[in-house]
Amino acid sequence: MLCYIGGSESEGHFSLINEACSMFAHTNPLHLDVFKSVARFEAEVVAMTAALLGSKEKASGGQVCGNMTSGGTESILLAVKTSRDYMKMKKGITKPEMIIAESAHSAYDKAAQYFNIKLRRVPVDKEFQADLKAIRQHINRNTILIVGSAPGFPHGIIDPIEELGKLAYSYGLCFHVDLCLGGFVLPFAHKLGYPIPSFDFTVMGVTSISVDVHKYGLAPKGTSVVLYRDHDIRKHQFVAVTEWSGGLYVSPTIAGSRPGGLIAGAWAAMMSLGQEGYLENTRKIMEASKMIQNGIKEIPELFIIGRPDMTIVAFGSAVLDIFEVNDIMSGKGWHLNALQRPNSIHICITLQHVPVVDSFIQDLSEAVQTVKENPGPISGGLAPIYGAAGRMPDRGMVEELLVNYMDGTC
Amino acid sequence: MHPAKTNRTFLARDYQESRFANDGCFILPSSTSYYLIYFLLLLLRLPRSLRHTAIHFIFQKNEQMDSYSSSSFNSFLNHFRASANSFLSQFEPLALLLAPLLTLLAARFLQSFLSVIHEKGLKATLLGFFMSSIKSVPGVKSYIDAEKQKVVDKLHSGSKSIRENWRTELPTTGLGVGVIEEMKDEKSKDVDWQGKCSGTVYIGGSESEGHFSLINEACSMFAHTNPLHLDVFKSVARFEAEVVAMTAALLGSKEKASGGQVCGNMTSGGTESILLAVKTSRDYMKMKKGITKPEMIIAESAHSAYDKAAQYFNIKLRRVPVDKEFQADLKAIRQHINRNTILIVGSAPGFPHGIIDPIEELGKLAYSYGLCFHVDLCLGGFVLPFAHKLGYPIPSFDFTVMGVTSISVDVHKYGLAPKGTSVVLYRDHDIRKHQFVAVTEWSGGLYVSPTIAGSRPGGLIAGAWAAMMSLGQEGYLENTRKIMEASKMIQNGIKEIPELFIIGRPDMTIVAFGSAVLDIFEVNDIMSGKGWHLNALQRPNSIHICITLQHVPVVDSFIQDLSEAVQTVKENPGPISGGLAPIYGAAGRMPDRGMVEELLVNYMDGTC
Repeated sequence: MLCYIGGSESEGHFSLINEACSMFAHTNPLHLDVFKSVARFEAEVVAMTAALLGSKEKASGGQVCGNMTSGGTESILLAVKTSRDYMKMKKGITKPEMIIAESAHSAYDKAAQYFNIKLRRVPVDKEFQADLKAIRQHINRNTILIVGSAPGFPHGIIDPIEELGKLAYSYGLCFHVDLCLGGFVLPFAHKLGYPIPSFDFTVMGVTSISVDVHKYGLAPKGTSVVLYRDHDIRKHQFVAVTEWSGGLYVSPTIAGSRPGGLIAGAWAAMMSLGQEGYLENTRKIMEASKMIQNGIKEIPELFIIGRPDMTIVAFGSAVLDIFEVNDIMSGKGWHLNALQRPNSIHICITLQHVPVVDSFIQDLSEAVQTVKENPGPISGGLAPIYGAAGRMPDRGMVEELLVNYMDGTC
Repeated sequence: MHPAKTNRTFLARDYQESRFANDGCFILPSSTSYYLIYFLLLLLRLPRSLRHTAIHFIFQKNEQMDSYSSSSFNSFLNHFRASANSFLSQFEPLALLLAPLLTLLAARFLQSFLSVIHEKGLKATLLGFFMSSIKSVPGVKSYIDAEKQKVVDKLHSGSKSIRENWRTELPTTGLGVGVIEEMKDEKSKDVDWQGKCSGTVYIGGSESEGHFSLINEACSMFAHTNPLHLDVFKSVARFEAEVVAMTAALLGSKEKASGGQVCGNMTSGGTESILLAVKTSRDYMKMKKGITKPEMIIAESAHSAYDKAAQYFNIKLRRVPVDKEFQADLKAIRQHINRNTILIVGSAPGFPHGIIDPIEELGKLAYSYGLCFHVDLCLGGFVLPFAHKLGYPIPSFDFTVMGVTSISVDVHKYGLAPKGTSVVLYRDHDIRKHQFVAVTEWSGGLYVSPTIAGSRPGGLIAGAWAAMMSLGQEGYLENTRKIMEASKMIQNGIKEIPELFIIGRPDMTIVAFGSAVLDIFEVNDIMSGKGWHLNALQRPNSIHICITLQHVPVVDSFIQDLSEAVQTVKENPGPISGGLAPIYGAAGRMPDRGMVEELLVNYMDGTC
């Protein structure tokens, strides 16, 4: 999951985007009049991404617009802030609330804390998808926004976007579709014939979408796109300052100055690959995902969570401690993600994994056997900590532990 | 006269007028007091028997007045009741009932009106009301919108036609490595920026050699890294910690007066550093003082990022005009402090005029009121410590000043690091903890994030480390010497031009200047024609140049061009065709600031 680009970091695609970044390392899109090249790259990246997500279809309304950001978190923060201010103007809501599924990204919690919004995290249903009924029950007159993920990070499952869109539309709420992971895969997986439900601006009710170019878009880290259904909504993203003696100032996103080099790198990535390049990459990773799912199904002690729609495969175990399996895999050099509710681990498959699918399954089988024969925590492993944190009823204490941990790292 | 007697006389009269049947039937009396009390009991939904008992009790009490007459409190109550009733009896009962309800409604309306004023200010509210009433006249709104569009189009100045050729869809077949040629082509169309832009590029020389080459190589080497994954990319974790520590050491973290607890993080830029400092102060003061309607006070010269923070984090912002020396006005700031104030800000120096605020005095003020105090060293962080060493008269500005709780420093300005690198620092860990966001209820696992972003480009962090380590203290000292000297030369050059005056006394490398005899924005338009990109300021109308290593070799040609521009405007006053002077001037004079905001938003809406 760490590196989405295939091959080594000093050749091939990496080399290409590094050269692009270096060529524009001196640029800063804050100064649009000076660095017109970067202004063009940004506008084109946004337009090309929007086109992948239905902006040219009649059903989207043809008004889709957006900006580049520094990453998925910023895209999400901006979508939430914009929805908050839009709903304040539209409905006069001053104590905003938002409803998300338990599987939705932690960036929504960050947005809620930053922007003074009450967050309601609703448990998923039996298929590990966003639970429509439960979400509907939480809607009240202060609700401004609901979120659907396509797919969600924990289990790689796509939420019922069309139904959520209808729900949002009927209540007059904003609806954000989190395509940070899926934005550069699902359009191509759909073309390849995989059964992908509707997920983009053609779905009625969708007001904003976040897409990370620096994941499956194979762009340099620090590049994402946030899109809105129309200009009326997006205007609430901008901050205009008229009373500063430094002059008239208007800023589209969170940052002021931005590294133009990264924008150039994203443009280079997209333009060098083209639709055929992404199609080919998608074919490879979807096949690798299928192979890994089949491999895991062969291991009787493990079960896959839900039905993965894309390239994330989450699996747990009813008979062993899955976090101990994770510790053994760490020892073998694999960095997987530890999840909770239920306790499980996942692998997010990228081009990096395509050549090593077999050795992953091999190592996983061995790890499961090791834990089966020697149950109990591995020395130096994190299993006890994950397990304890999951069981602790005082969530405030878990929060403090996390904060203290971060406090000691820098 | 015994008060009770008066009382009793009044009530007795009423009582006698009523008929109180013994079987529990109550015949409505004509008197107002009975009317009111009975209605009240009805409202309270008391059952009939209870109503009777209550009425009986209230008015029976008066019969037993004599036995209670010894209690003066009772008699006082009755006296009060009597006079109140006699006063109220002149009003219609219905009116008495509706009056409180209407008052409540009016109070609510007044409250919401006052809260709007509190949020936007009386002037803005009245103006807003005035403007919306004008706009409701048919035809006026469309006229105003058309005029607004004209201004926005002018600001885009012909770039709209260029945009029409821009791509809107991924090419079917990728360009492969051919994409590099196309980028070179696009780059060649950029304006000639070397040595001609205020600020913008702080590294000297061309972008393909020297220091630029070095940091590009560092970035490329770590382009695959992401400090979100601390366990995997330990090198980047180290680079980040060292950049933060080295920067903090420049700002007094090792001095005893700072408390020795200074800590911080790297961010994506000055705006993020400021946003985080404000958010952290808000949450810290909420915990410390329970403030739920936070306010912050800044000078008019403080950066626009504080407005952004106020809008994002629901904080009321008070922008206070500067004093005669263009510094933050202590007295005025003190006057705005109230029980909701969480934070005050000092800039060292401020962006508009390059002047350092009275940091020590602001620190004392903040400390005495128990407020947070943020020092904005985004510009000055990598210059002032060295300028001080070189003997320039720099007042105190860092963590050694008592009262300072946070500092923001941009490494990507005079630190000569790649764009996208800044540092935010806090006095101690207790404050900084409020910067972090910990999430425990996500099925994706336990998550804790130090700054705004989740994933971050490790390459930029590596580039910042490379910049600082390659230069070292001596490198920064030498660079500071050059730019401070260039700044002095430019100030002297401007002083030689009689039509211009310098704003305040610049402390560092920003020189702002205006004119009392010509339109300085027209001078700016001429300079733009000569290839110079300077900053247009307001209050007062002026322009500035932010001097970097790029300007060191071209100081003379800047002064030359400026003199010529001034002469040109002096001989041919009046707007330059295609110039922005009229727009800047108009925007400054427009009383409806909301419309200026809309113009800016519409302009930005058209760029991407």
